[in-house]
Amino acid sequence: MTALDQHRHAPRLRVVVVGGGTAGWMTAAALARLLPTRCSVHLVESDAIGIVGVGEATIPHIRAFNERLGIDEADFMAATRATFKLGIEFMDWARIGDRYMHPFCRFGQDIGGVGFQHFWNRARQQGLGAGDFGDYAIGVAMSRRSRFASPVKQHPGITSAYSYAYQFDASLFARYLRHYSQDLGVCRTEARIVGVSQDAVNGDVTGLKLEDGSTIEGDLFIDCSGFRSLLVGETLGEPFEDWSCWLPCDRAIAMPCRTEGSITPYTSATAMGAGWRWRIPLQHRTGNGYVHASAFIDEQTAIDALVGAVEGESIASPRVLRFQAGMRRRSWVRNCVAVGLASGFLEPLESTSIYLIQVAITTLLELFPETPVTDIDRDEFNRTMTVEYERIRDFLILHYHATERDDTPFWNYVRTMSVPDSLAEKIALFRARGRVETYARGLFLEPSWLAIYHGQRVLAEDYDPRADIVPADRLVPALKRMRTEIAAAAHAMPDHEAYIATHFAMTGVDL
Amino acid sequence: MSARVHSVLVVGSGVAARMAAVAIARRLPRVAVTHINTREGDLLEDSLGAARPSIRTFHDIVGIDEAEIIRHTRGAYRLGTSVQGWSNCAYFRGHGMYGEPLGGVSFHQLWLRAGEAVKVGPYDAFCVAAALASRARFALPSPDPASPFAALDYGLQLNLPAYTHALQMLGRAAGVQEMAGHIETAERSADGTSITSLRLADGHRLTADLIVDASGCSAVARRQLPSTWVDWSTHLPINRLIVARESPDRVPPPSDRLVALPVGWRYEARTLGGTVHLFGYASHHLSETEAHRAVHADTGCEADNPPFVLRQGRLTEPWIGNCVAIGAAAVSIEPTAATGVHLVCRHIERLIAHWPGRDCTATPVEVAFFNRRVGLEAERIRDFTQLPYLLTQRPEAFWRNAANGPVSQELARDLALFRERGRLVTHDEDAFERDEWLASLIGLGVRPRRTDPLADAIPPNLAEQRLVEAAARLGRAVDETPTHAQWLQRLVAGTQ
Repeated sequence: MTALDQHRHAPRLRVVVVGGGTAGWMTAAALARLLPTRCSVHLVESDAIGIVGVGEATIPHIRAFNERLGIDEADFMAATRATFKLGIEFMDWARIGDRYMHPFCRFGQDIGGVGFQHFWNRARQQGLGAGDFGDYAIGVAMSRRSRFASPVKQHPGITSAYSYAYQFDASLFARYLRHYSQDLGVCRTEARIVGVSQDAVNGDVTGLKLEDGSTIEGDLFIDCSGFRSLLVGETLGEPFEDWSCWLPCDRAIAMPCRTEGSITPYTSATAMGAGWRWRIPLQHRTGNGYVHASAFIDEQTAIDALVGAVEGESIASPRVLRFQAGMRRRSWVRNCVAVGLASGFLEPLESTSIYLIQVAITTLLELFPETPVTDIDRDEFNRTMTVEYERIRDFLILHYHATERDDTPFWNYVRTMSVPDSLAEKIALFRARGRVETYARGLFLEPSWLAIYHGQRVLAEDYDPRADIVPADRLVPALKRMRTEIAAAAHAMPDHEAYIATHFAMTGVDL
Repeated sequence: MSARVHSVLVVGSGVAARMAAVAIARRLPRVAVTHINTREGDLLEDSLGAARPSIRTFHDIVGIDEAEIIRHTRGAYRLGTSVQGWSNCAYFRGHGMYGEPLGGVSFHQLWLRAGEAVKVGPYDAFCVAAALASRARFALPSPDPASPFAALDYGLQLNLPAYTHALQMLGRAAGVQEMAGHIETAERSADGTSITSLRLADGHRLTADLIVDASGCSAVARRQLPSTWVDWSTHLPINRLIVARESPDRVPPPSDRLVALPVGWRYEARTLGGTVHLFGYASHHLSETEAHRAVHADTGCEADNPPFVLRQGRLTEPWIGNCVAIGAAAVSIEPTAATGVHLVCRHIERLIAHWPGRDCTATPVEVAFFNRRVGLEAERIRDFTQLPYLLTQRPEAFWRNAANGPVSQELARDLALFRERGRLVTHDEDAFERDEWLASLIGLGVRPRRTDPLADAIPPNLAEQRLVEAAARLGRAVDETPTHAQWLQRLVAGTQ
């Protein structure tokens, strides 16, 4: 018998998932669906452990997750009251009164292998009527007009090369995946965990003690216990790397309200005196919240500010969430893998919470271990997660740091703080000549960085000299043509709300 | 907007200098380009014309018509390299993809799981480039995603003497001023980090805003400024090169050949214009006389030079002040992964993209970025080039020594992950496609201990059936393509 044959007959790992929020059920669903021969899945959840569920806005990667699990879009959208999302609108960030979008699409068309931003930048510097950078993005044009249609893949031009994500009710998503998982044989136990047993010799977690005195044993434990980080943090004592010196927001006040006006195909992030406010329109309500730094504003003032700012009648009273930016030094320790908030937290400014869950799951699937768990799998998992977290962290810091605001102590702090070297270099490189440092792993490609730099008024002092090769009398009409084409294409698309009502409306819910 | 660089001196005598001069003159028409032809040949850069797909990007940048340049310079197409003598059987290092993923599972994982079942066939059988090359056929990549040729990529086999001459003519037409001269000394700026003028042997003094050193390993201009050299001789023990040339005797194949020898290797590259055999060996394992004898025994031809002394390694800062080293002047590495022309293409591409203001030191952030990314790419090339040395089972003392050479931390980790479970790590900067790494690892005989758990979702029988079908489909598609000889005939006749 060869090593391979032995492997095929190896017993399935008993996977125990701790926590039944978005992270827990996404993990359970993916493992049950994609690795049925390698593991059995047992999920333990307790209603006593609350679900945070701020991660209602997503980025396009979620569609790949759903697709891999064979989840039908219409079914999913109806069940989670989802709306489409073309990007995020940022208001009042660089200056009060500013407004820009970070869309899920590119800006303009490259010419002769030279990035579009250099032509735009040249036109801007030479007074050639460059217009707003956002005018060159179909996702921005659609958002401004509240339009939506599924992108047509066959014609990848500037008017159809966009992507989209969803805005949905995360607790309904968890419930949806719970049914999905249980249909695939995932065992669910509703109980409070009162203790964790560990192997006396090597410290591996061996089981969870429940309040009724029983124990759930397992080989591999997935810690989806949220901020508490029951296994990786509390039990195994993995240190938390604190990033709050760069991302000082540590509280959020959440309060849903009725939707007034149209259901926008984008999420909004409005800068406030000591943080920012989200607005996430779902089919049946609008989520709102004020992410703020408690060192700069007291809770009641923050609540008042949120209540004063929301557009419609509130559906629930304000709820306070507490957190800290940062991550566990390692997410996978011994035989425990932290997924979601148990592994770290980055504020939802760029809707990355569910993405971070997803990337942990994907990496775990690719590195699914044998028993005993070996360092080679753990190290690669941890290296991957660190890269992902740090790249998102730098991107978030950019939003705060690149501001001209000096109207509150909070903005003065973030504007003048020192940033990680990895980010300082990126900003310097961009300022010099509009160049974006690209990387193969991790979130946020060039268009995302361009959107934020320009939106935050970080402008390049120079442009790629190759952009000079197009004479001005050809550049001006070319730019104008791009803008006109994009505006016309967006204008011709259906209204977002009508599109949802026709294709993807929720069922059986009375508003 | 800062003032641009207006005058450039390109230093060197071979293909790298010609490429740099013409690219700058064509892409930045306002820049005055002077080429100082140092007339010192560089065997590393100027013998082997094996060019990766990056040559096509270079041609796009410069505005060179591919068919025209092949016809005019008597080159050939190049689909990859047949690598022979390192492991039990030869393998093909092809451009473009190997197989297709199935149900979200990587192709190589499915192939590995099939365990080389005889009916599934070798890994190469799933590579379009390899399938074409094995039958001396050629096709262009198809824009239709449903075509098997959508997964194809290719480079060119340059006939370097003619190619270099053609670029010289193009450069002249684009306004490149040329002068012959030997660089004697340089005057440096007060802080010692820039060259204020170069003095030639005939007494001429030349100044320019920017100096591009494309003089090969000798780096005649760049070495006038402070530099730190990273030595790779323990990773890559080859330190001598010999070249032997043959006139064209038959139609060249659309690929080249790398053959392991008891001490070193022979790289064979054929074009319409002739054949180049490049030998690499280690002087402490083989004497010069023995090397020449080996060349003759292996090819029947005589070497046309005394051995070229190769010091493998790289400059930590190819660009300092107003002087930037490109190609072998920045990164001197044996060309067994066909990276000679590639490095020149990439460095020129980066230099133009980072074209400095008149005062080069005003953009230290871009210079630092250039140096960092050139360095990252160079280290990946070194790691990739080292694979056959580390993984070969050959018994000779030379190869046993090489197999025990030092390994970079990244490569050690990447190898461990592949050996354990067939996972290939993605790097931010890499000269090679994932499939080239996989083809090399698999071709050199590495087999992961574990199978990919995600592959469980596809029953082995079904997977094997799909693989067999895919290989058959590819075989049929290749049947319908013209031979490389037909392509070249049409091209020469001007109908392609």
